[in-house]
Amino acid sequence: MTETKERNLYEKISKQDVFKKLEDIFGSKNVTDKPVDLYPYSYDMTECEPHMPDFVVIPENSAQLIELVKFCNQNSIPIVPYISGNNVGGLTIPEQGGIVVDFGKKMNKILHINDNMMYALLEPGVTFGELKKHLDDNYPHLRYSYPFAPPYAGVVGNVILSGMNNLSCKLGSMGDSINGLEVITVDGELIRIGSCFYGKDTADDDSWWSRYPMPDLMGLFINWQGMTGLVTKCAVQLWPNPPFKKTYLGIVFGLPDIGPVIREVGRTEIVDDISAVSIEVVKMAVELPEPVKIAGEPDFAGLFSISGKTESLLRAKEEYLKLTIENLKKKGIKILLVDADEFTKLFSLRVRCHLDLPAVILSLVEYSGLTWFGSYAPTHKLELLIPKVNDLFIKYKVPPFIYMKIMKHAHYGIFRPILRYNKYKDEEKIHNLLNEIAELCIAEGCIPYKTPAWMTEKMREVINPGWLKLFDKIKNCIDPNNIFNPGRWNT
Amino acid sequence: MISIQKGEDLLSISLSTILNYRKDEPEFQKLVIDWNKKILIDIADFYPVEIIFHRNDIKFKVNDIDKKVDIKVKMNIYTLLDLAYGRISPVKAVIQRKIRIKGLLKFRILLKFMNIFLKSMQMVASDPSNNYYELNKENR
Repeated sequence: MTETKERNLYEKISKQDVFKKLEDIFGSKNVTDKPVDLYPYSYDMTECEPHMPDFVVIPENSAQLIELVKFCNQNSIPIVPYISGNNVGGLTIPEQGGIVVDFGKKMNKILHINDNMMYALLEPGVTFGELKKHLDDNYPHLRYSYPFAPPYAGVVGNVILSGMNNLSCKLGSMGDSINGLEVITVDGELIRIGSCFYGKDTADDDSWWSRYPMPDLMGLFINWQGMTGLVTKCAVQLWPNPPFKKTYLGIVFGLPDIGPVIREVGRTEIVDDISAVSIEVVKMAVELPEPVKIAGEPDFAGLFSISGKTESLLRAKEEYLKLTIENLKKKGIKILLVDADEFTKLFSLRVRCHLDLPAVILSLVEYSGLTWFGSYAPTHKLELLIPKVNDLFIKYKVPPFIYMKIMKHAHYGIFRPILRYNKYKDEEKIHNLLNEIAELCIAEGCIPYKTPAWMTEKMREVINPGWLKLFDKIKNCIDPNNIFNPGRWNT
Repeated sequence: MISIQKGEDLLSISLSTILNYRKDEPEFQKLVIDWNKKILIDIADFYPVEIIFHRNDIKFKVNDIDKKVDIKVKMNIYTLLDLAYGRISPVKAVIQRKIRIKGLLKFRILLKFMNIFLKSMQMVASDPSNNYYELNKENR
């Protein structure tokens, strides 16, 4: 059960008066302080310590939030943004109490699709499922990209925390695909960043088409985990939806050999997305929660998605992919390349959840606990990281679950060991395993994203002091009373 | 009623998916029940799996495989997919030595196994649905 720590948030103003003010701003139906309502916001699936908020509010518009931010800054009350609570890093647990702002309920509109310049202007609560349906129904010639996440996960949270999706081999981090942001800063200013910055009061919906060339203020809000302001609008890029698509499955024998395979395939520059999982994960997808690898089974499964505007373009890409695989075989790597659609039918359609995104991935939700060391990784270290992390899983008697991606045609990668567990039963064991994985990977240069505070504490020990000083200066300057999601990055 | 063991390794999972597709079909049940044969399938680069047909049970074995089985079939994964999706006929695959069979002269057993396994695999492959929950509504 969630416990609330003693703290002195309400020295300047009583809780009753805060509640009254919140009712004035949002209306009584959109504010709660009842423990039964607050409880679901106090925890997530991770090992991060739960903490109750004092209030939850459901905003409908930016004007309400401007008033809220001014009020909270005056009274030093924390504000924690929340969309659907799906992050795996304790990011929306109100570590110091305060007010949770739930964007998911009413600020969830797709405000505009610009077909010409291919972007979507979104409120923070829009989910991947909603965006996909809207595009499929109204703009089938356009596509967005989707993560290994359920359809009810939020788009804006994913992009402003540099998530990675199923076009990331081509595009890189989703943070790079933001055209513009509307943000409320601590003094209650409504700020528009990107080409939408023209216009004193409002911006034309068709003006959110580029992030550059003005000084890039977007960096003040991306990856800050809500510590610098409240994002209220976000324009994300869309891309042409090619009619011809195909996914290949690479079955790799030899634990570290998946490293060069995904790296080389990434460098072909013809692949939309590359992901790879330990073979145990494939079995988890077919309801074997604690799979054991038998002798002779492969070690990794890689998915390579390609697309083309014409069939012959797709065929040409296929040809080059096959040639790349043949060259890897000549170097002694044992890999089988098969059509993923054909294989999944004969294996089990359940594994299609990895292909048809966004989707509820059974292996990620079948336990009460889920955590990971999700990191951006130097791809030349994969061969070293994979066997070492695999050994750690085996040492702790946990089925290996390593998920990797190649980003931006192999400029960098994603290395993400994932841990599923029974909360309140295996928590200590899993946290110890995660701790060992984190220490190993950070020492090898991996940079965790969507990081819980205990992990940023570990990172701070090895981060360049100049970076830390600048980080602290910016945070103190932008949010001097530390009201925006306090506790993140040990603030 | 046929009982098919749930596979716990990649190949057994796949065999289980294929054989389960027709398990409620009377024609399939007639073929399988009381057949009492042991067939070894060896997919190159993977490992051999023994399929045991016993009374109304179908089981899979990957360790301590019986030395004496009725038929041994060996092929690679590409041939398996080609057979499933109709890109090559079984006869052509045998002639081109893409399938190697020990027990080729046991015609009756071989033909029956083709009827049980190959036909089921081709039916799975040709099913237009790609959605697990459409095909397995009772599991929803």
